[in-house]
Amino acid sequence: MKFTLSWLQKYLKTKKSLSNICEKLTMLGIEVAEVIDNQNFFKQFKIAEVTDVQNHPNADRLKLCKVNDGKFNLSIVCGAPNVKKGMKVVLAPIGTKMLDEDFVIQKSKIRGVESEGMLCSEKEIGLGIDSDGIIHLEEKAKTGNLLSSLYPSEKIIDVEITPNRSDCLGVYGIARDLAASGEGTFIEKKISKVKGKFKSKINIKISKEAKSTCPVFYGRYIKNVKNCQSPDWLKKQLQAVGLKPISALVDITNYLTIDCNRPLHVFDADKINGNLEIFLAKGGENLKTLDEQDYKLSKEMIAIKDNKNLLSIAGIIGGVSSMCELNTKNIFLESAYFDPVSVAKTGRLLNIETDARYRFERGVDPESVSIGIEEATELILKICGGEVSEVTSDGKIPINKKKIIFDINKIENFTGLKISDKIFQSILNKLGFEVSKNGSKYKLSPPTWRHDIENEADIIEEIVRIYGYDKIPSQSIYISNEKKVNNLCQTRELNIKRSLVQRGLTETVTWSFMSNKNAKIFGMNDNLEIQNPISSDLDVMRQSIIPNLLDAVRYNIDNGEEKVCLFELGPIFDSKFENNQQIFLSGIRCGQSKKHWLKKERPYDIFDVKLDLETILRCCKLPPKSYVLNNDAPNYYHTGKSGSINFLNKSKGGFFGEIHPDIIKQFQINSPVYAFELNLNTLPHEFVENKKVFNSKNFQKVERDFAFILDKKIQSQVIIDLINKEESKLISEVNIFDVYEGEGIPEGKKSIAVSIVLQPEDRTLKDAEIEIICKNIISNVVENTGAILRKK
Amino acid sequence: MSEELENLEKQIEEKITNATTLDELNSIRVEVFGKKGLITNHLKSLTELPENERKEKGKKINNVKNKINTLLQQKNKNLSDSEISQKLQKEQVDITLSTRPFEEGKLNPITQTIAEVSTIFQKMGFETALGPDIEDDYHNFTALNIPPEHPARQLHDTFYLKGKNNKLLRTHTSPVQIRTLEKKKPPLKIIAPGRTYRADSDITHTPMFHQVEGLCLDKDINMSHLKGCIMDFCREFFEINDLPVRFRPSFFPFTEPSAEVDIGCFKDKKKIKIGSGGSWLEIMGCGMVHTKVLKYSKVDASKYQGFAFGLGVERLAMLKYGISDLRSFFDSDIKWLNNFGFSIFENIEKI
Repeated sequence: MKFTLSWLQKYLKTKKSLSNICEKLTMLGIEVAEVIDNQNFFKQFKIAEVTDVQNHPNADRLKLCKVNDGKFNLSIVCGAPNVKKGMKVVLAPIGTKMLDEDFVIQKSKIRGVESEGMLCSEKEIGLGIDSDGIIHLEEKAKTGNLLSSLYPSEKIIDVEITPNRSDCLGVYGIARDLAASGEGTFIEKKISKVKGKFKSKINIKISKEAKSTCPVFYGRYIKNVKNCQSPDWLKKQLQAVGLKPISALVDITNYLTIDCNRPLHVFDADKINGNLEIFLAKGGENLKTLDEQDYKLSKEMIAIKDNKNLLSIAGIIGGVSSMCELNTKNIFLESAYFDPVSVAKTGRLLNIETDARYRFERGVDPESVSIGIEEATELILKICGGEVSEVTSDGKIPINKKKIIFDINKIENFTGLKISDKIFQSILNKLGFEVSKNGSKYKLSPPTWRHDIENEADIIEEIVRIYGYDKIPSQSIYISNEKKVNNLCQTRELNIKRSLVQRGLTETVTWSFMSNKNAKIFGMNDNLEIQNPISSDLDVMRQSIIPNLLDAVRYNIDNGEEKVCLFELGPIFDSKFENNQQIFLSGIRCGQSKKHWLKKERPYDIFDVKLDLETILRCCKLPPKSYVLNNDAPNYYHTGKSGSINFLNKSKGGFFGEIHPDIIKQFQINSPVYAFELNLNTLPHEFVENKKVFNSKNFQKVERDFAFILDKKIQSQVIIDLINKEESKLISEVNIFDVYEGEGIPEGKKSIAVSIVLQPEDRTLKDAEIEIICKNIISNVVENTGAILRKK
Repeated sequence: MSEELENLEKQIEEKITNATTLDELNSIRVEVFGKKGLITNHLKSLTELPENERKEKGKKINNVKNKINTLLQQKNKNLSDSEISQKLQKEQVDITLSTRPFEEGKLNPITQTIAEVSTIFQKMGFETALGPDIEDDYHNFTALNIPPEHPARQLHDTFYLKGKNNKLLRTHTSPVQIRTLEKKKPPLKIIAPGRTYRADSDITHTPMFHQVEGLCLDKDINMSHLKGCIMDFCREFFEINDLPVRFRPSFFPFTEPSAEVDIGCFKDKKKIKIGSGGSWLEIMGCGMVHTKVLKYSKVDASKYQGFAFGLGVERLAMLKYGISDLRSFFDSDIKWLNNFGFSIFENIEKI
């Protein structure tokens, strides 16, 4: 919200400097976003006259203007539809810094024609919201003068008001807060009732159903007004805070809205048929509103109608059919209270953002219904004249006289700050609370404009807010036995990530969403879809991290990277999971290891990602013997080059392998991509292995190599398991050191060479004994697999 | 005869001195001590002498023999030393050549930041708690005292899930407060790092970002503890002992009183330096847990009170590590990740 320092000083007598006031505002919870000195800004602009207008040779919508700035004739290209010869305009000469400080006016060519400055719209210089055309200054504005000569010096303060403080959506409320904190003296308004001379011609009725959403509605008929341009003081006050003056009647309501957060509405009384009724819509009613939009009401929305037509969406926006114009003679003034929840709901459903909605949904002061109508009447009489009726009304001002019983010791208990009774009472009095003491406890009733005050904590906040948050002491809460704090899951995740970083993978973070298009490529159905995605690229929750990682691969390859090794730890989503999500760890490798003088480069392959996966599992204390591999990875993997990890407790842990070539192609990646993924939610408990008893006696170990020719389909693990079955106590190591297919080996067969280490613990093996063991191993493999021992 | 021996000795000595290779030296040895060697022959000739002469001569020859042997050994050592040293010299490698490649990746700065934050709060006794990304209206809003139609809901551009009644992507990590209190009773201290989502995307907003939530409930926790906790955190995180930390009143539906926390900084054109510099930079929100929130979580507000806070991870990372563009966190650009990521030993003392 914007207001000027002079406006504030209407209600705050203070000698404090602007910067001191701004600092205080921020420390009161009214954050100052910006302070603008309009003089410095306006000094950059000149009043100029358009002396000639021609069509632009290269663009239909643009005009070539000759503009006299009092000294020179400038050529300026202008796109405004309203530019015409003889018009007095606001010129931004070359070098002008616009509101957005990065935008500086420069000499430039627009569609091939040089332009030596810019003609400004209201919006461009912060004097209103109109951006459709340029400002048409009054004839008497003197060509060559600075724009600042037309506007008095104003310091404009832009503050951010938190949703609980609707009272500070008015300058009056801000002044009260500042006064309470010692920044000056609050100057209270003195409002006297204007006596009506006749009974209002238009009466008000709130329908029974609408009483809870519109508990009170005041109105007043004023006849023979003369609507006109507002006087200068009013216009300039509104312009300074960024509002465009329209006509006195409209400007007065806007002024009071900012002055004391009292939204008002003025109907053209001659456009009203009969009386007004506030009612709940049945649904389907149509209204063309002041912003020229058509809205269709739905059931239960609160609205205002006369005997014939719908006139207004209550508390949000008026209808165009009953609006005031310059020739309006008789008016009906509305001052009402609408339920915040109802206004918020209607506003959200119809998607209308108006200032009235913003204020009503945050809650206005119910008392201001009666005060506001008098204040508005007074201003209308002063500016537009007329004769006023008595106030007509329906309903009662909803005053909730809540009482809060408060023990002052609570403040220290809650903040560590000791506050004296004197300070306590003084702060609350200045904020408008009624304070009485009953024994050791206070009885407090908050003012009508502070509907946000409900309980003890609210009172405490008021006290420390005004007294100063900076006065609250601070106490450290470090503990001495931090090692006892349980952060196991954090530690485990960090360890896993570190082990992958050591394997050469870099950690990335991608969106939790992905595109439906990618989900389809991956054959993923039943995705959790986002109802309101920010783009169609991010419209479903990811069922796997891999598609996002593939996008990352392509992005980096397009950027000239030759190898991409990434991993991510994060959630994937599926409605069949508990809480719809599980934490996955997924990684990809694409490209090849670096060229090096000691090591030939080689493309990554499935055994790189298998090792990545084994590394993580080892990091989680799950050795290879705690899981088995199967050939049943999902369809987005290469059927022949992929596998799954299956824990002994039957849970599927994850997958690894080459991504299906068809999918890679659809992601426009030209080289194979290898991936792994591991479900961290279903990992079994650590596999605890006790250290073996160490035998210090050193008996001779025996190493023997065998090569088998066997069916290609038989997995090496089968051979290893068969070997281990024999003499498992003696065998300390089984290692496959060669796998060969091709020349010399029959079609459909392969040769596997295994090296076996026998390590006796209590004796030295005799030759005959070794012979027997080897024979057993060989026959076991041969009998079970049909393998043939390869002769050396 | 003795003159002959002396000459021989001189001759041999000279030969040994002049020998340049071990082979040469070996042939001298054979020439002298071989079967028909010069000294061997002399020894052999002893047998022909009468006993009295033989003894004397034998002694002399033996002396010469020993002398030559010593010379040979010395020369042998000299020559082999220099030969080895020559050989090693020839085998010299270029030690500046690079070692076998060890490809190390980087930890994401988000991970590093969350770990640093967690470590500091761990020292204050905060355990890590987690909650789901897909939340319901109750946990994300209602139980946090944000009823339907509350204006604060508009500040949260919420992503909703299609066809799932009231299911949404959490707009903050605060629902973890509620989730934790459903399972655990106070006293407790938790932090909850995680992903959060808002339907917003421009230079300073991304649809997904990370927060760390904190909750501390006990019988006698008050705002001075909140202040101490957050001040200590800020100073430890930014590693500036006298970093100015300012608390100013604000509004959050789930805390009362509420505060926004600013840290001191020095600002000039497009540059921000954390520390004492006259300007302030907003970094997090906090406050005393609202009694309504305690009520929703069935905590006895007359017995327990405490504070909660929430901070933005990317914002902290940007400030501490000089990252300028929020959106770059989610680009997966390897050059960016290498630049702003952390090798595993980097800053390890902080996590």
